[in-house]
Amino acid sequence: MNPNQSQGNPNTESRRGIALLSILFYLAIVSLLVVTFMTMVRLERSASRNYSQSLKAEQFALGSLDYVIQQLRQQITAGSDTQTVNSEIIYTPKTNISVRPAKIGTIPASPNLLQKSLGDNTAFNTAFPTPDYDASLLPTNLASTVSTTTDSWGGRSISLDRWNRPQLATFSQNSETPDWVLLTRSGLQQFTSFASTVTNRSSNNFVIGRFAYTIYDLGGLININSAGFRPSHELDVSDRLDTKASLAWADLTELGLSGGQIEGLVTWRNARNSTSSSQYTSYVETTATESGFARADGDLNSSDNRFVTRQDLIQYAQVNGFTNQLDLLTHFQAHLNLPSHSLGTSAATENPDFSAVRINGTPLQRFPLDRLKLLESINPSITQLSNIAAYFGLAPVSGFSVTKRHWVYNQGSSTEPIKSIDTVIAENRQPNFFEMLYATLENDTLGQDGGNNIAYTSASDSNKFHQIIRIGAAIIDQYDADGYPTIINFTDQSTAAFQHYGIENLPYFSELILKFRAIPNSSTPPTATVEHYLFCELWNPHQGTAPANGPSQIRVLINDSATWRINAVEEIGSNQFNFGLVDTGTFGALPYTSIDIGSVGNYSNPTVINTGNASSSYDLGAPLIFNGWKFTDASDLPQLAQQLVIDDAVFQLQYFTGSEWQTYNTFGGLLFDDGTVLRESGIQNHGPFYFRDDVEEIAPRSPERTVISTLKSDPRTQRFGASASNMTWQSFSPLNTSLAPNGQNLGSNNEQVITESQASFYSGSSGAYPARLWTNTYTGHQAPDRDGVTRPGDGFLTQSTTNNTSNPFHSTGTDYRPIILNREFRSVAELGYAFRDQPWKTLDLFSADSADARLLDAFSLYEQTSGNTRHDLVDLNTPHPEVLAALITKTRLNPNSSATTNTISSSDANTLAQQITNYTENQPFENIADLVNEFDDYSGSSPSLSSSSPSITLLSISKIARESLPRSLASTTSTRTWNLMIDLIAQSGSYPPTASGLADFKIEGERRYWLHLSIDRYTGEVVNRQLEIVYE
Amino acid sequence: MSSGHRHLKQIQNGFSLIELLAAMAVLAIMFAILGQIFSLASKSMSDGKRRVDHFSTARSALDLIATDIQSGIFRDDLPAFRDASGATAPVFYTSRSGIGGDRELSLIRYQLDTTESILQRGSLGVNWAHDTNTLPIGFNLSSQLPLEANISTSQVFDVAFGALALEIYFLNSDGSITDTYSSNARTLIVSIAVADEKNLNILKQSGQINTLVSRLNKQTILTERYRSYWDTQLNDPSFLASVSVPARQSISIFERSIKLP
Repeated sequence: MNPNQSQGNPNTESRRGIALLSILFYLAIVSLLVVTFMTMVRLERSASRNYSQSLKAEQFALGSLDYVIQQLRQQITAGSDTQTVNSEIIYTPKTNISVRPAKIGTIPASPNLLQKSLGDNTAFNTAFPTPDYDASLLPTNLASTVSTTTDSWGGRSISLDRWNRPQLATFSQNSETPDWVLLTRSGLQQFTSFASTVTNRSSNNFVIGRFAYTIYDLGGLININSAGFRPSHELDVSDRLDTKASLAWADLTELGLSGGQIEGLVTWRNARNSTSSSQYTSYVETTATESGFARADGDLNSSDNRFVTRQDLIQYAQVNGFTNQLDLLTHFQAHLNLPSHSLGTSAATENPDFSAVRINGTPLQRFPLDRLKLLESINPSITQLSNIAAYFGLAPVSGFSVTKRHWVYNQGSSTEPIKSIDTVIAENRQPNFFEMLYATLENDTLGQDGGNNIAYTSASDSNKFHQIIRIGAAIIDQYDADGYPTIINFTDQSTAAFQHYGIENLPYFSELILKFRAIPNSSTPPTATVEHYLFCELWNPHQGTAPANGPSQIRVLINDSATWRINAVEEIGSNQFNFGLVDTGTFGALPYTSIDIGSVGNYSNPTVINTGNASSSYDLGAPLIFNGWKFTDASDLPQLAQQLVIDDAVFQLQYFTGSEWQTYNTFGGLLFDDGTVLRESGIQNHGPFYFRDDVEEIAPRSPERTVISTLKSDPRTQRFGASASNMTWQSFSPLNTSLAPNGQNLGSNNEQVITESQASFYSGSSGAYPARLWTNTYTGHQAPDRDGVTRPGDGFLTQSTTNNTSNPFHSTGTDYRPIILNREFRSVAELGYAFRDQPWKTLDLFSADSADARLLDAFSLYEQTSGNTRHDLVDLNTPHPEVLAALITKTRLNPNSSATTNTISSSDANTLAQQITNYTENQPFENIADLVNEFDDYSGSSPSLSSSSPSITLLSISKIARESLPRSLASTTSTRTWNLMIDLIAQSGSYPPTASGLADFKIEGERRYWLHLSIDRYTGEVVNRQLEIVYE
Repeated sequence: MSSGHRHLKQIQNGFSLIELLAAMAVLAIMFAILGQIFSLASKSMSDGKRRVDHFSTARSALDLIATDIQSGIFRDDLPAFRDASGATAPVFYTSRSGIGGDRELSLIRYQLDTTESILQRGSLGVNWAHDTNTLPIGFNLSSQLPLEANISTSQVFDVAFGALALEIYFLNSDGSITDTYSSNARTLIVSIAVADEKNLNILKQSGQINTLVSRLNKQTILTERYRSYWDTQLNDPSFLASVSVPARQSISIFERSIKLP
């Protein structure tokens, strides 16, 4: 056999085949392992990449939200003048325009939409006009020009429906949707066109993600977690609807919700607290307000409910059929309950810029008016006294009791009777009630007296601190339920200590009257016995009746040391007269120095006292039996004239506390025409009283005459003095109409003419008409404030009417008289009922020139035990008239009228709301005070309502009615805080190398967030936020 | 002669003893090397699998918790991370629907089945018609979520096997860490100790599981992060002497910081 044949040996060939198979087998196994490994690696890599992209998108989205917030802060900076207080920067809006966020890319039909990422630089820049913004401080627009609705790589885009998902705006066209903002390796960059570098991983322009956003205004929406009440309780809570203390009393039917929907909503939301109307009212005014409606109420047994996210609210609306109202509703809102009003730098010392006050780093707090309840304590505990001292600077005076609310203000200093905010800051505490009034009321309007011509003006009248104390006392008496006037001892260090009284629904001195009666004798030449009388006329000028819990007995008292004397002129020869003293004495020597009137009585019209134990009565026949003091000259001498002079007198009106008589009103200080000023030292309330009658040619004239009266312009105050009037016997008129003769027709010239002792601001030489201070509009008969500005009196709005009942002097029409609430305040604007200690002026919350409008900002209704934010308010600059209408409707025009017609109707509320939104659209309110100072426009020396003021007739009839607008909005609106929702979609990914346009972004991860945000406009601080992740 | 050639040829075609010995020696060495390689590969694979097992278990659990946290409802008036008794626990409301509820709101609870070493997630859905008079959600309570007690076993599902311990604590705005939640909390820190399935079974069979878990206890007073605390506990010499090395090495500790929304 050929050895070479061995190559063909089957065994050999077999072995070689096995080796090949083995190799192939091993290769197959290895290949399988490699493939498996590679597959696993790829899957793992893909999973890891997806996971990392997801995290990347999340982090990117959160970072993008921070960017948007930073943009908003830059807008605040650019729109503000800054000041640094304790290292904190305060951003005061440059103009009203920059009070609220700029509008970028808005849709007219969707006013909630404030801003969106928009590639149009022109539109972006025009959103920040000069001088409202400092262009150098504005953020740069970084949005690209690619719309989010444009298909990206792979065909994905953000549809209109997705952008419409928050249901706060309606995007109906692709062009209305936001544009993408691109994030490159080197940060955010604006691309207006495609650049190949965006695809180049080694380039700084390489894009790694993009986001787009919209910003919605939530501030102008109704917080459905706080608003509304059960319609079935409406009648029971009508007194709460009269004034809107909270969003809880908003009428949600104005938003288009049905009664059934509201009933179901409130019943569900307040399951624990809405079983009865009283339960709900209690909840609103205590539990809810303590946290500013931040917290839902509940315990282990029961709980209220809340919408916890916007998606939650949307779902509820879908279930309950009110999705159309979702653009008026929000579940999130927070408003800083802090003051921010500024009068400008010139007033900074006494009336500081509230936004810049820091007390040990803490902002100035609004003073909660419910602290006034402390002063109602019957027997204040040590803790209560401590709080009263801290909150009011008051301490009870010996003898303090339920019927004698007698305090002393003792927190002043030798240099500052009421301390300024600067001093309060130095003392490291929040201001007390009176200090807050001092810081709030425009100081250069306070302390106006009658001028040089009225030297008898009390020294306290020309001192603003005394006026502040009196205003404070009047506020206290508005709030407390009793009818006992608050008494406050106060010294301004420069004058003697004074005692000031609050104003209650009680009679006050309106006029003192001297009359005489000559009883002719039959002798020749004729002689007469002359009787002189002194009478007091009282008047309670308020509406309504005094509370049962108040004084029941009053009296008039004259000081013992007051003297009287009768001078007589006797004809001793032809044209020869002898002027001599006929008789004299002190009041102390008379049988009575006081006239116990007995019951407080009505005195709803000026009435000379005709009851009591007077030393003598003067009987004109029932019912004109007047009680007063009688002085008789029984010399029976022929006389041409007599004169009664009363010297050194202060009249006091007192009420009986049950154990003693307590003064609550005084009348004194008249200087008659002889230039004498008499000072009386025993009484520290007012100056002395000195006046006389002059009886000329007694006999045989009519047997009785009112010869002289001295009267106040307003019975509650003697500011501007007491004016003396020589009443000619020809114009003798009934005593009880002497203040406003001729049937109380103040519109004519038949008013009481004052020919003596005119205040310096009366320009007429022939006489003054003090009753005209009711309107304070008549040229020559106006009382300007100390700053020279003549502000309208309480009757200003009635001046144009021809209705003669529209004044406080009318005997039957009382709707135009002042009001004493005698209950807790239910709106800060109810401070407008409090007497300003100026004739016929209550605190002014109705005129554009108001010096008191800051009250709306400086005070709040309720003490919050937690936090400085309130969640039951609405932005006053809301673009939605429906929202304001829900607050305005049903507000009572006059709290003393229970008629349903005395409330603002839905129709009128909508008209008013529309006017406000029309106004604020172009000129937003910077502060709640602007509702008074800007919305009404007065011009000229004789103010008149402008066309921008409410055209609602009912509101134009009186100050009380006009203030129903601030009463409805003062405690339910705010302007300080921006409440926003940022709807942001962020996508991670990149541009593939083959990309050819900015839209060709390859998406690898996506996140969507709704960030609810509250930003303090004045500090830029985020005061509240909620991040809501959106799953789609 | 021809047969002698054939014989010689046959002899020449065979292997000498030396060749055989040499070949066997080479084969032995190769098998030894391959065996070593396979052993190392096997061990490496086993370690890798364990690590993957740990990582998967922990990641899936932490991812789920993080997702829930991101949709969590954290309000001043609604307690969170408190169970029905008031103790700190991974219990909170989320804005997502849950089992048995028609509202986009549910109470989520994470818990450990210590017997089976399983991390479980309970979900109690809230209804719009939820009767807040009898089953209060917990508004205005500060320290307990009453509805938590109503999460039934049918509403609890296993989410991660091999979980031996779970603790949460909080990083607050002032930089402090506390084991109780407050409104100052900014970040939730979740610590979880896991074992792979294979070793878990071994540990259970050997009875060492209880010893191990006892070392993964809760700190009486929170003084340090759980990752370092448990590490210290597991590496304590006295403890190491009482358990096998594989038993110790079968435990991994993971910790994640989750920013509270």
